[in-house]
Amino acid sequence: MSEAAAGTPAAKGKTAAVHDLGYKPYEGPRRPQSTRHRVIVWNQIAMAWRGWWRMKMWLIGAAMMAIGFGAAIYLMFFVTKNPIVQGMLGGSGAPLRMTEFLLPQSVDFTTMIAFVLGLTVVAGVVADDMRAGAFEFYFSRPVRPVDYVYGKVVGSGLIIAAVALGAPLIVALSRVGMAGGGGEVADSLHYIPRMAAAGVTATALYTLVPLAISAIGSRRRYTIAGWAMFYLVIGNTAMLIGHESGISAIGAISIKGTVMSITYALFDVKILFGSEEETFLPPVEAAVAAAVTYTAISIGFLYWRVRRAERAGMGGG
Amino acid sequence: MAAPQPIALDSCSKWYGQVLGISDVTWSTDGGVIGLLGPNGAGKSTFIKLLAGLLRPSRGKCTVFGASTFFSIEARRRVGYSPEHEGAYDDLTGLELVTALAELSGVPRGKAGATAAGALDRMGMAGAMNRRVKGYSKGMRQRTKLAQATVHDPDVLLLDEPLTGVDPLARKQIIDQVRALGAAGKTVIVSSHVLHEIQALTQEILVIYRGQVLAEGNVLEIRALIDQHPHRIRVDCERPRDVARAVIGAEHVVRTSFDDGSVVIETRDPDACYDLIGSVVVDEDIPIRSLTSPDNSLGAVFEYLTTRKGSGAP
Repeated sequence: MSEAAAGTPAAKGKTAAVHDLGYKPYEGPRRPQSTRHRVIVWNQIAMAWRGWWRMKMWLIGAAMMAIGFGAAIYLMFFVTKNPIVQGMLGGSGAPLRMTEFLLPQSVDFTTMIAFVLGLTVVAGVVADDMRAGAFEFYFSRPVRPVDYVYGKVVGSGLIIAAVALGAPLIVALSRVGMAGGGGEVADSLHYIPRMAAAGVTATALYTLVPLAISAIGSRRRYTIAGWAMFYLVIGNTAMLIGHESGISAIGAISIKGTVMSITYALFDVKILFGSEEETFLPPVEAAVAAAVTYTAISIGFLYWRVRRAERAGMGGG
Repeated sequence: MAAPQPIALDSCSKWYGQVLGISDVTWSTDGGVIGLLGPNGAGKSTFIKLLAGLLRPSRGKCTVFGASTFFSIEARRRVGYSPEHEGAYDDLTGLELVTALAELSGVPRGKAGATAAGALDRMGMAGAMNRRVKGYSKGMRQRTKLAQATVHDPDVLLLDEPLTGVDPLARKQIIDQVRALGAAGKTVIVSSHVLHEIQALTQEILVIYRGQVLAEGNVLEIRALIDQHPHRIRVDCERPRDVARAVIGAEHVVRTSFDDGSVVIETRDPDACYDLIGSVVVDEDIPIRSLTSPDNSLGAVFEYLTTRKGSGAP
């Protein structure tokens, strides 16, 4: 105790009975610090897995979409190879080009599902932890803010990647699988790294931006609304302004515009119909710059908020 | 060189902007179970969060076994913390929650499940550990929090209001566990604003009031000091002056006063005074609306202690 009671252990005054309830000290090895984030990763996935509407429904939707695109590619691929059809089309090659257009176009569809997953799983994550007081459970343990941020980014990223990366890769593999012989397979293998690059870009942006928005406040409904507002209203408005003003780089504010611009560039596809002037998408240079900027700002902001919350003792319910 | 004490605060202060959490607290312990008492807003949670490493001291030092829990990850390994609030991952089962927190505390993945199950079992949660936390009662949540705080075998346990809102059975289990942990050599700080809850756990208390240490030591000694203070009994009845007239001659009655249709009697012997009041109202047929004691709350204890402090009494 204090000076007045120095040398008087607190236990000394106990007179009540002490029961042996089987408490035994843990003497085994300790989990390495470098793997603490994995606990947060699996915890987040386990939470997302609860209930149909958070994650499962959208994974099924992404799988159905991948199957749908695979079937569409299959039909176009084989139909356009038919000599009769080729003769009817006069050998223009347009249908084959359209087949290849379906690959990047599948990313367009998966980003819609990734956006919804962002709403149901990602955009409320940090806000929930702040409101519920989970930070107290984390930071009273040997867990650093960097472990928390890393765990949340990887956990959210794996969930988004299942849709934004997994589904496009299935589509790309379907396309490769339709190749006739060895040489044709080799020629079509390039689709896989292109789709992977597009999927990784989509995964990064559809994970980090809603995750950063989720750290803005401690009210889940507001952060989710923030992600929806940013994605739908601000993004689409930016693309519209970019198109109307002729400064198409403004469209890079749109997450979707950025991802699709990069994806189309990866496949060397502009638009299927109409002229380039009619596109709302930003130029690829602006899109790449926006993707890098969004990534850096989101990670930086997320870390800053978590670090600040840890130091301020926030999340106490 | 002597081994560092389990807990030591040296001129430790914490304020939140203009709001004071704790002020210039110097205190340490050699171990055991210590009850941290104080009214709401006294600074108990701030005190505990400083020890848990959740808050950075604005001034001074706060250490666990010689290391700052705020700055040292290693020091946090030795701390188990049960927060006052209950929320966090209600969709997980109790076992999943405690397992995850055990892993975060360093228990290896292969052993975390069994260790968590053992911790929950000791808290009497064996039958409910596979149910989701959102279906738990208040007592079950408190026991789950206690399980997560002890699952990694910490040397220092910080329990913020662990008995609030729990049923009698859960209360007994928690009390037994806290005592067992103290007997196992742990240093346990238990906060509460209810004196009798703390008395059920330990006789060593630390009283915090307005962010400062107001009293510390054996609860019986402090109670004895408090008992020297005249005890107040409020009798709300039809004829308060008749009651006052009948009791004022008793040796143990110090004085009487009137307040809004009731009489407040100050006595040095509460038991004798209650007997006397009973006799008076029966003999004189005085209808009583209520009989209360403003001194039966911890607030009265603080009021008494603060008055002593303010008057310069030792």
